Amino acid sequence: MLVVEEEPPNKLDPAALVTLIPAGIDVTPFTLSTPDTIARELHLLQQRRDLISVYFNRAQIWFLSVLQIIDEKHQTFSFDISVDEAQNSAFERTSHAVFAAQPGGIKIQFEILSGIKRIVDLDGGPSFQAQFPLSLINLQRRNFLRVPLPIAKPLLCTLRHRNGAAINAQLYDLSIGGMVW
Amino acid sequence: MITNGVDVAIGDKFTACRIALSSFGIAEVNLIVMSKRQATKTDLSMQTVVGTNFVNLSRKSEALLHRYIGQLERERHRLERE
Repeated sequence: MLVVEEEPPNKLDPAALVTLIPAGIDVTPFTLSTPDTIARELHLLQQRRDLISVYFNRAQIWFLSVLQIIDEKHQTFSFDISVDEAQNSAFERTSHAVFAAQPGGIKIQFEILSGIKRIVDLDGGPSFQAQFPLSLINLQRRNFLRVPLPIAKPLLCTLRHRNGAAINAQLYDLSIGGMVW
Repeated sequence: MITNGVDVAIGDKFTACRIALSSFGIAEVNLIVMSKRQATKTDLSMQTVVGTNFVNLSRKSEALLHRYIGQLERERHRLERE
């Protein structure tokens, strides 16, 4: 799985960018590899209209997209093209792309190794189409409901760092299994 | 001082961490760092976001967290209905 440690150079709407899963994380327990389970995750992304960060050219270029049509029979899916035609032309020539989304704080990531083509979708507009990925990572580590925490009344956790310093960390979400700060 | 940009690594463990759950009290927990990533804040500055799991969560802390999370969920549902 392709990973990057640094932000890509594109600066278009960086707040919407979903970063790729960092190196060093064992994603094996979170990897789906049957067509049925992959189709289900793609359908969920499509139904929620989740923004997808599509990386290509060794993750040096990315654009934002939304899944359009999930075709289980032919094992294909389509998705919005970029607003930048130069990116679209480059994307048509790529042989490797990584898709990343983060609905509800849960990382979903998969990669496409071939078969990307431009099509006309049902609305008559241009889309890209690709074959289903061979695997899909659904990085849901916790078995418990996560609740996002109110920003107006921040929840703080006091920790002792290994260097001895006390840390007051502001929490972003919390569950019975863990927390994010 | 609120410090979220602290230097931590995946696998780091923190013991006896204290979460102040407003009127519910203090939950004392042990943590292990499971993930770490850079996120962009609304002012476009970068911030390190750290995902952690609780380790050997005590029954008392679990009960406090249950109550606090339950209260947040009830508030959220109430706001959605209004």
